[in-house]
Order: sequence, then C-alpha cells, then structure tokens
Amino acid sequence: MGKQARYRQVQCYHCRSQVEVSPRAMTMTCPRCHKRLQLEDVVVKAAQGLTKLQTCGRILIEKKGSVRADLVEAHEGIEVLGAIRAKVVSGGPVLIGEKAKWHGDCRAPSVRIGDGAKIEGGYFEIASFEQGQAMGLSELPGVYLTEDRTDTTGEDP
Amino acid sequence: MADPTNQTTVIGPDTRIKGEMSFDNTAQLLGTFEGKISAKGELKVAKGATCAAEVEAGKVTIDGTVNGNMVGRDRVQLSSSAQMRGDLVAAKLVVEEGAVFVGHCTVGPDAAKHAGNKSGSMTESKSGAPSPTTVRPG
Repeated sequence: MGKQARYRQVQCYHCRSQVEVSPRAMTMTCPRCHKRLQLEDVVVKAAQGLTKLQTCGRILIEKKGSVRADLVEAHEGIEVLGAIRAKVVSGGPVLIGEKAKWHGDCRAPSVRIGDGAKIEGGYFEIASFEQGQAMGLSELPGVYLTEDRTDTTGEDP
Repeated sequence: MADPTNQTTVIGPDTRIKGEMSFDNTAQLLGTFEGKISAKGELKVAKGATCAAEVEAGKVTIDGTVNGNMVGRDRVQLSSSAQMRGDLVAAKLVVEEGAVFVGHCTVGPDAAKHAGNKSGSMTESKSGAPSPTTVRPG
C-alpha cells in the first residue's frame, strides 16, 4: 500500500512564500502574510462571477459551469469543460474541453485543446518554467514547490 | 506513376530563403525562411528549421521555430519541440506537451473563416514577438 505524503508544499498566492501543510488540509492561513489560502480543488458547476478565483490545487469548470473573473489561478492545473472569461494563470496543465469556450489570457506550462473548443482571443504564454525563464516570460505559480519537492524527497520534515 | 497532388516541396536544411512563397499542395521547411507564406495545402516546419514569416495555410505542423503571425484555416499543430512566437488563428489547435507558444490566440471554425476573409488584418496586427506583459498573477 502506498504511503500518503507527510506534508504538501504549497505556494501562497498572495505573497509567493512556500508553506508546508498537511496533505488533508483544505484551507490555511499563510504564516507570512496571514491571508487565507484555499488548498483544495475547486469545482464550478454553475455560472459564477468573481473578482478572483485562486487555489493551490486544481480548478474544474464543468460543462454547465462558467466563470467570469478578473483572475483565475490554480497551482496544479485547470480543466475547462464549460466557459471561462478571465485571465488564467496555472502552474499545471490546462485542459480546454471539446465544447468549452475560452476568453482571456493564459499562462501555463502546457495546454490541451479539444477539437471544437472555442478560444475567442487572449494572450497565451505556454512554456514550462525553464523555457519561460529563458524567454523572459512571467513566472508560473507553484513551480518552485515542484522543484523543492524533488529536492526534499526522502528527507524527514 | 507519382500522383502530382501528393508531391511535397522540400526546402533543405542548408537553404535560406527571403521573400514570398506560395504553394498548393504540401511544403516541408527544413532550412530558414523569412517573409510571407501562403498555401492552400499543408506547411510542415521541421525540427531545427526557422520560419520568420506571416503564414497562411490550410494545415500547419510545427516541429521547429516560427516567429510571426499565423492563420491555419483547417488545423495548426505544435509538437513537443515547437517554439512559436506570434498571433495565431486556427480552426483547430493542437499543442503537445513541451511546446512553447507566446502570442494571441483565436481558435474555432468561425475564427478561421473570419481570418480567411480578411487575412490582411493579421499582418497589420502586432509583430511576431508581442511583449509578455499581459499575464501576471495579482
């Protein structure tokens, strides 16, 4: 049986500091900037209008879901099956489903676009952290924690 | 006998072309091209090839480097070794993991038709290397 990781490293989306948390934690307060952090995955099932939608986990926008926001940030990836109108920053892969509608900018390490998906404009920066750094692109959220994870594998917390 | 419709125009790896190129079937770029490409058929930019051009084609497959705006009336595919900087309009877009794409993106059957009708607008829009300032986490 696989052992569950003793801790999970996340990056605060307010101050960008890295924090170690329990893998079962759903929210926390950043010890540095004292702001609330959402750690669990977010599933959007209906229409939502927000200023910011941020999580250290993943975001799934279901077929009947739609998000209209200034900023959508997910550190482990985003899956859009419905509609999105926002500036999107993702530390993990972005999946745009076959019937999805996308409107807005995107910064992500990789994007998968289903046949029939509609992208109605937006500035895209698709590159891994290393490639993006070489090209002088904006940073990816949460990528440092991936590097740290590999560095700290096997170490006792 | 060889079917003339299946013929591929190959621009070799040690070839450097500046100017305008148009073709009806398939062209494979292994070398360097600078200028403008318009095609009814398919353009393949091979790994190691560099294309600094405005491209308008039915189908485009990129394994190498492209700097410039692109219209793919049917499909644009960026493979894992592809690097593209420029605005992109396509009916269908496939981006493999590892591919690099920086630019404005419009995808959908309507988008490609629209771009096909006024392809001049792509050339008038921003240059192939837009400033990466629009996406920055809050």
